[in-house]
Amino acid sequence: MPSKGNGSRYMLTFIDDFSRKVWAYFLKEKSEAFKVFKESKTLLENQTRKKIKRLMIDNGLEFCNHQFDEFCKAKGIARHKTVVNTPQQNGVAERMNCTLLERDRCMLSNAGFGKELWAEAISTGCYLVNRSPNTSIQCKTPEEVWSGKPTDYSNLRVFGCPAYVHVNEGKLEARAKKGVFVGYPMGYKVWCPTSSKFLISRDVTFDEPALLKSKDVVLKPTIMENEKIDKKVQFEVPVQQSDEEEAIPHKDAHPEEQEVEAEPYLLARQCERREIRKPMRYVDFAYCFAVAKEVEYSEPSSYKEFISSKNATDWVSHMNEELQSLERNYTWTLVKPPNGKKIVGCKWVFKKKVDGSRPKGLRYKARLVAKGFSQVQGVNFNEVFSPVVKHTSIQVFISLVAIKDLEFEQLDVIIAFLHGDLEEQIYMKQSESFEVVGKENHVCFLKKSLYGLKQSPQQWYKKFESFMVSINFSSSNYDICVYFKKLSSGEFIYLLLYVDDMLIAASNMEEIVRLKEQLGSAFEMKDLRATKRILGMEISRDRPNRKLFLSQKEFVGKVIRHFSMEKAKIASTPLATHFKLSATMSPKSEYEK
Amino acid sequence: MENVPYSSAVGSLMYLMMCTRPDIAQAVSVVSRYLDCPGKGHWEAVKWIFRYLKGTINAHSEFGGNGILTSYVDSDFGGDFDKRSLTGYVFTLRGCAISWKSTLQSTVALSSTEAEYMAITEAIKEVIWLKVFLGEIASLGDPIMVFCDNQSAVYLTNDRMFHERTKHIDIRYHFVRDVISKSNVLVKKISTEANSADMLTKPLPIAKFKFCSKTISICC
Repeated sequence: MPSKGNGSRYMLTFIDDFSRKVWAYFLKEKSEAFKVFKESKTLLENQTRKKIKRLMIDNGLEFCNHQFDEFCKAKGIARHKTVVNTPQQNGVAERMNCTLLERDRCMLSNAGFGKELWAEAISTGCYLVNRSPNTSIQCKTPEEVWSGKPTDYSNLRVFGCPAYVHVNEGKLEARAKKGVFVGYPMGYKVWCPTSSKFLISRDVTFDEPALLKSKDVVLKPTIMENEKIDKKVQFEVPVQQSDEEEAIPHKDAHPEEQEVEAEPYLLARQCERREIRKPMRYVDFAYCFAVAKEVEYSEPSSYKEFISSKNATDWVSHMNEELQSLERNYTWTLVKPPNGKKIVGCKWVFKKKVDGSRPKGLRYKARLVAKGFSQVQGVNFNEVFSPVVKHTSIQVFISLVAIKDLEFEQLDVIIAFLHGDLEEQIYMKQSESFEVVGKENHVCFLKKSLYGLKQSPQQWYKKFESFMVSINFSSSNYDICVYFKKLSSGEFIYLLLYVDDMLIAASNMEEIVRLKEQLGSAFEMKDLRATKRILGMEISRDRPNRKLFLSQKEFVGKVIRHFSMEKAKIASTPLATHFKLSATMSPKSEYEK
Repeated sequence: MENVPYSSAVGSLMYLMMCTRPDIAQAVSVVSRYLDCPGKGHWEAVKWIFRYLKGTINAHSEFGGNGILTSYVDSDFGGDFDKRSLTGYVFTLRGCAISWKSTLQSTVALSSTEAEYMAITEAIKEVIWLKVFLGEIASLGDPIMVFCDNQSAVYLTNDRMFHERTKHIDIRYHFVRDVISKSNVLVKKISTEANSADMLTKPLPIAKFKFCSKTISICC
């Protein structure tokens, strides 16, 4: 739309990349761009005594014509054009257009003006932009950087406010003309609607509050005129053009051009930036994992957490139970803290176990453990060993059970480690807030191998071993966790030990019962009857046919669920031939990881 | 790849493979070589294994068949991209797998014979343990059969042949001869088609794979 005054239809902005100062020129035709550029170049170079080194422009034909090319060659100005459809390469200028137009629209609507005053609004916008702090120049104002002088804000006025210009048109004439304030050339520029003229004057009285009070300042004649003009105006297809000049040393100007009738403006700026996510195939597992864990393990992981947890009271009874059981087993005696001895800490471990025999199906388990990691080898312990049967032994054993059709029973030792006697002197702190009244400063002198101590499994094994020897069992030379005894009938009775789990097999059920009784007299045992599962493997038998089936159905299902593979397509072989895996497929850089 | 629970997945598979599933041993052995720096391709392979498991969720080993303690040995010469060979063996007692292994050989073999010979050595080590263990706890003293599909390797275990191509074989592999000459172990040739250790060294076509699984009583 042609602007009031000189009827401009285009604007051209130059931005100095060093100071970010912006100049706006208003053109009637795009072809004027070259002339304006030459003029402003001369002006800027003369004022700053520096040369324009570089010009950032887009590919608009007003900058990419023969005339322009020749001129730039002659003056040695490098031009950076943007790639087609990539305005972001001329970001400074494009962003400035956006800023200016935003201000333009805002000021016009606030003042209630028609569109024909757009050029004035843009000029004022430029004026304000040049006096506003800019982050790209360390929050100084462009004007300050350009001129080196501090910015003066004393002359700022509200755009579009009623203004009274002092005039002297005769002794009896009114001394002021009423208009609206539209800009800051040398003085103040006032649009006088009654005479359809711009007045420029220093002597202006402003009525700024009037604009704030009501929006009715709308000037009727302007609107009328506006409507008339609207009918006449032919809108051109807006072609966004802009360019910008950039100085490598500093001080330069940027031409930039824009049709002002920017059509319904797409507020791309206001759209939220799209959230960039990692591909789902990487994220889902980790996420499901985290959630699943959270859901599954709502057990307090420390004493602090326990104190603040909802079902603290549930746990307390179990903690007391545990303490009583420890006391029953004479696990420790309270003594005064010895000098120069290392005192290990302790902590509570809370666990919910699925147990079908309980109401609610859950079993709460609180266990006091020693912080064995603070033990020092050679001082608090010498050897570490855990009685774990070899896996092949289990397979062989199961095979024997099937072949010979043996009875196959399972036992579990309750608090197995507490059966072990300690050989070393170990002191442990009392459990937090469970201190014995009157002996708060005392420490526990351990007698039994408490859970968590380095030597606990070994002490348990020693105890068990000696017991087995006492009932005439011998352990295999090739797997010390396999115990067997030759019976008078020439057959064998076997016992496999996996820390606190035991498997017993014999052809004669009476022998097994006897062994169970013997074990029960020495240790607190839990009889799990016929072996159904061991180490996550499920065992089922078909005794008439002397068959035994071993599977891990449950475990496989759990793993597949865990890694969210329930909906995956089935593959018929574990690894297809098309997988040619090699170390070269490993990520090489940090980025790929 | 940082967010991918690669090690955790391979760990789960490894436990499964250890306990009841020799059929995935080769696959697990492959994917577990890249634990320190897994790439996308490796993770795809792990997912493939899970897909296989999903299809064979009911797989179980069936104990109580027929047959003495038998071992099938195989190797894949230069099967790895690092040019090392693979060892695979499986032991069956009464037709059911009780011990198996699929692993990369520690040294580079120069010929398929040598690779196979090294695999036999691995198997013989297990034979020794199994033999004494079974003898002790069950008084089982059956002869042990070791089947291998490489004729020259079988000869090499029996005779002190000297050949231009075998002279470099390390002395520690020749302990096989010692064991065989002293104990009740028989190394015999078997055709590749009938060798169920084949599935522990390389990915197989479906038909062969099913045959191998069935031979060692892994039923679906």
